[in-house]
Amino acid sequence: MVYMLDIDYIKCTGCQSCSVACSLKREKISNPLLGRIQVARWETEGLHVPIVCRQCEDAPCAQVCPVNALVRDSDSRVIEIDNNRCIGCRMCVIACPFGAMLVNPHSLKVMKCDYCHGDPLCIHVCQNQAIKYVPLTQSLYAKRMAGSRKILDSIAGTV
Amino acid sequence: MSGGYVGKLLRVDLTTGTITAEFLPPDNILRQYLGGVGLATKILYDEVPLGTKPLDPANRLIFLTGPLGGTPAPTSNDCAVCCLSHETGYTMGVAHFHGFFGSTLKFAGFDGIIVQGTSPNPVYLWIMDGKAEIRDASGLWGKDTHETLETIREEVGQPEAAVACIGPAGEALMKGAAVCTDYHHMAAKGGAGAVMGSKKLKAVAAWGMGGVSVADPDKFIDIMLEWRRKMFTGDTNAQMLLNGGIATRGYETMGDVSITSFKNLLDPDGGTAMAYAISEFNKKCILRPQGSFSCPVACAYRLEIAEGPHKGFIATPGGGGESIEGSALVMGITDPGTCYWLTEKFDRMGWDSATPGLAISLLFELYERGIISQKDTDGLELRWGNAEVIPILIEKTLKREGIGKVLAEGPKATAEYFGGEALKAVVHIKGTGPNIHDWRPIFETLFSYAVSPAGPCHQGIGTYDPDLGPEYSFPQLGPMFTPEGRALATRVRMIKKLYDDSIGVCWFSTMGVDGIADLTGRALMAATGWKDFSVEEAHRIGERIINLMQAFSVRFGHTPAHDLDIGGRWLEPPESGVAKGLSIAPNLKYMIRDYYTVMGWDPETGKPLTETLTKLGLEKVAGDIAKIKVPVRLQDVPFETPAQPEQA
Repeated sequence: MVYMLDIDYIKCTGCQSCSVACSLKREKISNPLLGRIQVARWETEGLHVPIVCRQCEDAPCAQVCPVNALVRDSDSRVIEIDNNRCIGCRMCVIACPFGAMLVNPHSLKVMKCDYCHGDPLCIHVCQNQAIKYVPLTQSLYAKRMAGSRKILDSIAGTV
Repeated sequence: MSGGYVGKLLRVDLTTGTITAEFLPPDNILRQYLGGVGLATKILYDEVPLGTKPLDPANRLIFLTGPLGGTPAPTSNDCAVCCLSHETGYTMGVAHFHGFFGSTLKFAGFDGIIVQGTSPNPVYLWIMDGKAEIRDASGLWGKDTHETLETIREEVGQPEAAVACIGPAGEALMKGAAVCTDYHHMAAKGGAGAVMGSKKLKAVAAWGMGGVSVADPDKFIDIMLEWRRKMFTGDTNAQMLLNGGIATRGYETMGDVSITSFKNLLDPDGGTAMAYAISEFNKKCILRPQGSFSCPVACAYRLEIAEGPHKGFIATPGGGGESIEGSALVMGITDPGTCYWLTEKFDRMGWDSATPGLAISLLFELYERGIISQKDTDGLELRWGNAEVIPILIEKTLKREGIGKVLAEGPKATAEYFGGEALKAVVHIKGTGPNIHDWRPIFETLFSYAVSPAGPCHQGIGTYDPDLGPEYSFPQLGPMFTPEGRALATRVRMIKKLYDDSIGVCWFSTMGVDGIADLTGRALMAATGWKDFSVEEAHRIGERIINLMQAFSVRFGHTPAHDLDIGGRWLEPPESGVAKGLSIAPNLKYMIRDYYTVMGWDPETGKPLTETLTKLGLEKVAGDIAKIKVPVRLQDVPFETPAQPEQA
């Protein structure tokens, strides 16, 4: 089934729990810079944006990769890095429109979110549930219901 | 060591301009003091020469994280900021701030910083990836805390650098000056801001790409998930402070127990009404909770004022600094927007409003009661609620101009300047502004601030934890306003708080959490690789720290008279609210003696007994203080109990 990391940007407080938890799980060291999910913090505005791979269907990173190191899983639609092929040219970093392709500043290896192969840790440390891991259809359903509620509210009493 | 700590301390001597990286003390010392406040206490005890005054170059300013700092443990951002207190002159000054400085310091390669000496001209410290340099700060001197943060980030070319800085209050060596970080956080007690100012150290900035090793990552992840769940299970502080802290649910809670300070604590019911009014007001404003590093609570907040004369103004209150009570409510300000506007003024000056606020509110009261006149106030009309004069008083105080010269020394000095009624009206503890709510209805908290050897605030020693349960052998307490069991409860809570303050997390992640000592102990083991850390060891560490703190105070001149050094208003029964007609005063001496006794200290002098210290492995300390004769006995301290109504 296709899942997505659904993000409610208004709910993010910028705490980086997701980044630091990710780094410990995946890189075995606690360092928010090594998280595959990053938080862009706009402190004076008090708003913060979790940045993580959207697993684009028409993925710019995969398109520009000269050695086809970005490989999509046909079932989950998640793009993973084949480190045997990756030459570290960082073309994918340049191409990603979100800034979600990352580079480990120590090993200089490219990193990206792969949904922890179906069990992402980040969602469990996000107190406000700004990040959720849900089936794509469920996410669409929730959006549809929230949007329609606004419409209903606006016409209530008029019919 | 295999994890938790990064292993290094940075020592900076500003007199000589030398910077050295030192190894952390060996494992056997770390097991006794952990980090944070505990290790800072050890370092201050060992290094500050006897006879040192707070603003002397020999005083140390210590920034210390703990072994869980920078990990995914909840609130792993704690940084203790400690020194010989400029607020009291004879206790340790203990403060904490949160935000991103503590964790970033570890990622930059250091568990802590020890600053000593005094620079001839303003400087700041820039730490990056294990290296540090002293930089010129003459262009930063005079800037407020937000401007300083932004300017330094630009200068060092690192937009995510964490910056701890002082504002004009610290530069001017004000009582109540704090060390601030990010936009929201303040290490607000203990006079660290003035000590930093005396060293001409405008700021410390840090950034780094390093990480914190964790001995057993998988186990640690399981524990931190359990911790995060339990933080929001049951009656925990994290629940109450979630998403915007005091601004969302806190004021209502404060109203319910009538602890909101209003009009120099003259009017508890007025305070309660304001608490509810502010709670309602906040719902109209745009409130954006701001998380500190790895913090699921986000008690700091950005607030856009919705209405009133300051509509559109953006305030950035947060943990640590006293919020609107010290900066506005004690002066009887009633427009919530104006309260936030004034709070931001104090915050940006790097000033914990409790201390200057209570000096100013005393002046308001004396003026309102006709005890002083415009001759004494440089012509200012100090009527309750007159917000316009407060910025003028702030400026005068920072310049030590006119009446500002008196206010600069804090509430007690201001009361002594006027004498008479002022001494009965003043709100202070050990001379300074405490964590400013009206604690008279929760008198064990008031009591614990009075006896705290770290200054009158939960940032020193927190004691409004709920019932700590069997894990802490928490005593059975009598009904409210009875002294029985309170001293023992204070002891237990202090032991817990000081251990919590030494592991690298914020107290808000431990308060009210079921089985927390076991949980944090397991987190410590998974992080450091220690095999046999027990709950008993955690308790012993807390007890060791409080004893070392008290020994520190005794060496710097603490006597029982200091524990009775509490402003007159605290002793007066409140005129309204849940504590109407009740006061701690008749029981205070008894409770202090009881406290000394349960602490294993001399019941008449408060000096830790040799056997107590020996049991904790502090034989050397016992030897140090054996030579000191405390010149005052508790029974001899003159202490007048104000007239109490009959029901008390």
